[in-house]
Amino acid sequence: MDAQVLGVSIDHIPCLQAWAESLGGINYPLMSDFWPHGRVANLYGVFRDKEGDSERAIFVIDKRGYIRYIDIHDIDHQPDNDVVLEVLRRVDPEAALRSPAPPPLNPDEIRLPHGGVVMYCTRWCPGCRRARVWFQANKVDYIEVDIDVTPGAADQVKKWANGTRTTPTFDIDGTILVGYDEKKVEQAIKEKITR
Amino acid sequence: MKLYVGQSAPDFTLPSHLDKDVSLSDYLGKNIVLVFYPKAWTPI
Repeated sequence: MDAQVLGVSIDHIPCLQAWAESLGGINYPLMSDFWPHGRVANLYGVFRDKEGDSERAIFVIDKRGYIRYIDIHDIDHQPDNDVVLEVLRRVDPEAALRSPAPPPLNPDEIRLPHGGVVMYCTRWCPGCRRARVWFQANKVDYIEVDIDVTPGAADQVKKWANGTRTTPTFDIDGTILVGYDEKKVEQAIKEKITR
Repeated sequence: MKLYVGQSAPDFTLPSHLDKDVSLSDYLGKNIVLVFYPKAWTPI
């Protein structure tokens, strides 16, 4: 299958090396999230504060860097490989037949989604929260781009918003709306998406 | 922070058991299966 597996645990490197050796060698990187402890697990929302370790979790990320599948398992249960393979087939049906992967494009270009409803936002901004509620109430499919963590996203917003990091900012199939105005968003969706 | 399907995966860099640093963005252009293990010596 045309996919790169990356393992992350809060163990330190010597421990991971010993573990890999005990398994007869592992050919994908096992990464150590040991210090600062659990930083990456935290970033992905799977750190367990009390235990100081992480959930057993799987994220499938597509070629453009979008999360396509999240599975957080019971700590004692092993993730099901078949499920992950099925997700990969769905995310990229051709990959099952073809390898290697095409060369990556310019990261800035390929990491920002376009088409449909895209909301550039932060986790905390009040306008973003209102927009999420509105999208959900109106059953609008949309993609969130968190400008705090997505490379190039804040710069893109600044270009649209006269140099400010205004959130939310929307890219509705090419119509750019800076700030949350429910009427304008609704109008743009009517014109661009539901036409 | 909680992540959602459809969001961009936040980039990070960590040391790996292969004695080199690995970044998520090293693998841009490939499908990635990112697996968090609670601890070494648990099933994979």
